[in-house]
Amino acid sequence: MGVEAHLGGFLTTRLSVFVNWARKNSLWPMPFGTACCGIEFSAYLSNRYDAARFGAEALRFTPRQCDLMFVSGRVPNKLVPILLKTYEMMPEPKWVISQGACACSGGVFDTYSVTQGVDQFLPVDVYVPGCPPRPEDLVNALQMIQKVVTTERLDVERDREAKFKNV
Amino acid sequence: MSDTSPNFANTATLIHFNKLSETARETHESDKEIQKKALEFLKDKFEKEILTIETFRDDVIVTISPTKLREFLTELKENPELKYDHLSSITGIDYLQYEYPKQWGEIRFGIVYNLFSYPNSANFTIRVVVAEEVTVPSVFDMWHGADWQEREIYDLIGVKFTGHPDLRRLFLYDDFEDEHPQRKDYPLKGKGERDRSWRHVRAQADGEGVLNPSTTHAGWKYLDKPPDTKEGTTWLNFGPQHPSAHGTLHLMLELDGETIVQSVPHIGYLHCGFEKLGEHRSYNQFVTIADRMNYLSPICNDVGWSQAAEKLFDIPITERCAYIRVITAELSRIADHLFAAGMQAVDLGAFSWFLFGFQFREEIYDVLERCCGQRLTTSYTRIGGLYRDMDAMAIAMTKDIIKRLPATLDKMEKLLIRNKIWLDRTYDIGAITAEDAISWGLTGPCLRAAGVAQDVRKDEPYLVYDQFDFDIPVGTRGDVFDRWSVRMEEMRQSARIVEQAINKMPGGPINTDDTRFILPPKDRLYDNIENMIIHFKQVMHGHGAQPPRGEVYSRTEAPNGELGYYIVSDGSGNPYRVHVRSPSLVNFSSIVPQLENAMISDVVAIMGSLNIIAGELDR
Repeated sequence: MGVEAHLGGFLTTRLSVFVNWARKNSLWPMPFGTACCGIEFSAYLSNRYDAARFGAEALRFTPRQCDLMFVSGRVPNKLVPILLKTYEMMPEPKWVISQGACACSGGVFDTYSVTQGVDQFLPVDVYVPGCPPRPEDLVNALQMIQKVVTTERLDVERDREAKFKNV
Repeated sequence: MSDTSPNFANTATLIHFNKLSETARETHESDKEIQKKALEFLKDKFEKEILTIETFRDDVIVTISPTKLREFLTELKENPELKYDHLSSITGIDYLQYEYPKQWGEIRFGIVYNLFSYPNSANFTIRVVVAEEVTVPSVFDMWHGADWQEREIYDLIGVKFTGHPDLRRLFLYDDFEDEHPQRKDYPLKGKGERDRSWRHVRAQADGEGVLNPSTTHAGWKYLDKPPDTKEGTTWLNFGPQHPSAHGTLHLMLELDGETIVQSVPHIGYLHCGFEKLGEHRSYNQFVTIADRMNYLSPICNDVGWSQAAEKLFDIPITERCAYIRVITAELSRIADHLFAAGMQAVDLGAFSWFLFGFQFREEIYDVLERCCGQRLTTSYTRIGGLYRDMDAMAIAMTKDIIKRLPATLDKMEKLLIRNKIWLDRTYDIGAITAEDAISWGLTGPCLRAAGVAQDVRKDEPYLVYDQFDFDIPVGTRGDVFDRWSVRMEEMRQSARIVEQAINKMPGGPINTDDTRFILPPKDRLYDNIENMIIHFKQVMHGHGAQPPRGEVYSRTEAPNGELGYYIVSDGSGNPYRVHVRSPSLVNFSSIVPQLENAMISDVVAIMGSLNIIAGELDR
């Protein structure tokens, strides 16, 4: 405060900076929690680690209300179409955190039915290694996502489309 | 919601537990005598049908051909002196690379039925051996719990069951065509199904831009033609992406207005091939895999697996090890029930209640982290011992938790027990009778809520459970409310067990002194050639501990119910076949009768009360 008083009650900035500032402090996570990592995800949400400190505690299970997807846990092939459908339902701009070894690379489950890394289908922004990663790691990942958000351009849709095509 | 929901006046009588007395089981004959008796009955009646009788680790396995299977099982179930009323587990085995006895003839597959008698506390095992393309009679009408277990065998092994009402794939989808992954000639990484599925998904994503579930994925094919739909009803998909489906559960509901006419559960969205993986890992390595099955209480899985492997190897564990296993397993049970009851409350809208419970869960994580360095996937047990000792700090932390837990549980209970919304949504919802519960194979809190006082810790006391004084809470109606109250009471009983275990805990080593199993301490590894050799022999593939040939089934009481491991050993360092009798799989199959004529809002309550862990359900 105080700056506005000197400027006569208003402040000039670039629109993208302002919009990204608002976005990064009100991320709405979409939990796609399938296995062990989902439990650590709920630890990250609850009392001790408290995701509300970063304005990212309002979980919505309807993808249309969310802009940050957590893929927590192993993703078998049978689940991939559901994961993709959920991702496509989320409005732009949207970001993806791939939590845990299984979502990042298949982990210990190099078997006939498990997808070896969700980045073959989704544009992942932040990978969180660990089996499962500790909630502190998730807090760190969230802060990294906030940095990603600040660099986002406003013509994001075109960007995002190009990114998806390259996968 | 039910019309019979209670008013405030009689809610106090709701939690009324019949305590099972400590000595109730002492009057029963010992289980070995019952086994012997059952064997005599069978020999008298069906002498010609019995191919072999094996005894391994005191358990009898009778091998028969499939023609008289149903008569065998009927005799065991109906005979008033035997009363094998609980079908624990059905395991399918591919004997392709196994040297089986010549008496079996030319066969390929074995189906193993593990029975348990609740009145007599005795077990019995029957194995049916069949050649390829030979069908086995279904036992669905005798035990409804066989429903999904038979479908699982059909899916993964490829044995067909005649008389099964709905025999189709359980976990896998049509990209697998005629392949059955649990067969021995099927490679661990598949025959290209992964790539094939990805190509389908990519083609959809590139082409139309929007995925169409009815055509993308073979797993969805069943959605197109629901069985016997009635006139004027609606089909609704509940899950797999639904807040109370917790990831990967999927129900199809036929609705008449808001009432459910019939329901079809689809599972397998988290099928990761645990059992196949078990065949490619050594006995100690599988501890880490077992961890990731029920991720709410991994230590209970570890304890179950280690116990099964120790039964196979026939190695005793030290007393201190048994006590520490009891303490950590009971702490895990408390943590699991806190989460399960909390999730049940979250699903019905009580979020702050969940946070109360999670506070304690975090503190239990701290103890486990102190013991083994991991919060969640602990990998604490080893065959013949433990990774590390429980130090004084961990014990002090445990004592502190146990001291504060009962008061907090009372406080938490008060928040819900007289809450009108909570009672309306749980009381008389999803009720199941004791007979139905046993027939559907329910175990754990769900079975006890139906009024059956059964607990593996009492029936077949393992570790040192026979040395503790604790009660088994039972409900009366088997509804959602009873399941919740049984879980609440079980946490108090677990706290009692932990308290006694800490007071009685002896000193001494935590590992056996058998150098075939236990790695030498790290600090003495590099200054002693003998320790170096022992270490090297153990970690080298093909040099580690090798069990005798044989098959064992071992059960423990996991927080969700009976957790059983069936291990087939061919004498090599890896198991020949691992089968997990997971409580979630059998418990979840019983949702079909519970949902009949329920309201759509009850689905959430019933699913929450069963506490289905998808990792354990799909494996």
